[in-house]
Amino acid sequence: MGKLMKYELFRRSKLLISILIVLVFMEGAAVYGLYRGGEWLILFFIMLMGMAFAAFLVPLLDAVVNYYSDFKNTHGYMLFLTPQSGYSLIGSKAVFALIELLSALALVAVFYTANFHLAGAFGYTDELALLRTVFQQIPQMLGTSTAGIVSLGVTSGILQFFNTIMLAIFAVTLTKTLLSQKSFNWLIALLMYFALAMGIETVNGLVLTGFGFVTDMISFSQDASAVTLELGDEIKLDIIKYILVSMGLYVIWIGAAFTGSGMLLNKRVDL
Amino acid sequence: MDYVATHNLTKRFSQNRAVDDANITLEKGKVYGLLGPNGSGKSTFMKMVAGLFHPSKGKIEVMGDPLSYRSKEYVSFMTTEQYFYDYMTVGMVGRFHRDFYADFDPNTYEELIGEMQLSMDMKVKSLSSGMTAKLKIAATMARDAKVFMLDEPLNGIDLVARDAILSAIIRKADPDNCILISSHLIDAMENILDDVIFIKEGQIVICGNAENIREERGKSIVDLYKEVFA
Repeated sequence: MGKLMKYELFRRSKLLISILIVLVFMEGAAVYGLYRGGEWLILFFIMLMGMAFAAFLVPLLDAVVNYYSDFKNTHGYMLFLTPQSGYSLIGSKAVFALIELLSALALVAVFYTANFHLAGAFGYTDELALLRTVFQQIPQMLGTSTAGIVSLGVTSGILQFFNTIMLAIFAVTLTKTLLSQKSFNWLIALLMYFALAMGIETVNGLVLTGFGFVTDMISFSQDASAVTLELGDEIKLDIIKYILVSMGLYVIWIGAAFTGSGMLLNKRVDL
Repeated sequence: MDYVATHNLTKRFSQNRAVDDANITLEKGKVYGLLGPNGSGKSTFMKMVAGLFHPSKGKIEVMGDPLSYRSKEYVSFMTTEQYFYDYMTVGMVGRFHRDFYADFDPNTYEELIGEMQLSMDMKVKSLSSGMTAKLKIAATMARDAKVFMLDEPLNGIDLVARDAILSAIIRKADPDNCILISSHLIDAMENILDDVIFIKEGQIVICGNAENIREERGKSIVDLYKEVFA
């Protein structure tokens, strides 16, 4: 699988360098907006949001477009003629997409941290104090469990987005299996993706409800003290429970999308 | 042991049977010609054996085992389409094959690239169709595979290059491998074929030793081809 990933990297090297340049340019624009202040802060916030969108969307689009292209164009023969199982082929694309996602998020996190420090240097003392107050409420609420819960939340978020990528890969594979000779496969794959995503969200909702999510959230929202004071152990345990249930569900869906795609590639897909 | 055996192999695209109940065996030490006009099912048959298409019905065995991704270790297949990634150079195509095929010989590849008057630093996307055809032959024939399948290897090739390609194919033929060549340029291929397989509208209509067929029918393979497909 390492060799497959090596060629995934070669294939995208120019694209990845271009994206890196665009992100650096956006960060430069954000810093300029921050430096100028006043109405220029709109530019700063637009660039911040743009970088966050890019960090999530680029890995998704890159993974799906390249995978679709392997089916759509004859260069896919070069890949699919190699003596590699469907699972290795899907695995290499999935792991590459995950690395791409983590790298993009890490880069944007570095930019955000740099901006935070630059804001101090540019004299945004009051705004930073307000931001610090907001951030300080999180450890106040979570107490000694802060690091654990935040880590779980971040991991769950990454798993959720990786699940989206895997689901899109499965939708493309399924479309290619069922309708290999049709035009507008991309449109059918897109519709297939939305149908699968809706189905999965419905199942996820039902499972969480089964674990008491709805009633717990109602009682949590009725507890006015929860906003400012440290949460009780029971509520913290509930938060951890739901994050873990969500993570478990994402892992199951990711596994199912991986297995399904690999199996279809091995047995059913016509190039 | 047959290197390749197909049993009632069928491929349907909607209502159209591209390959229909094909029973073929390929033995070691032979060069086979899969002959038929455009659209007769040659490419579909080869793509099924190569694992790019999956049969609608029937079975394929390669080296005695049911077809799987592992079969690709034994089969070196050249499609009729240009199938290299555009970002690659000729050298990178070689490195890609070296990375994925244990039987790929970089020295043979280098020799063939030289013979075909290509160079390692050429970009795939800048190659003409004739140069691409030569590159496909070099990458395919640089392997020491058990089964070679060449789909229309002479398409878009000028007369001089045609000799170089035929020579590369002949040199590769040995008692431990078999070569299946599809073509509608029968006159150019006839002399190198041991066995011929005529495929018409997806069905195998004639299959056997080329010399025996010439004797039995009293005509050359080219003339027989004209008779069958006229």
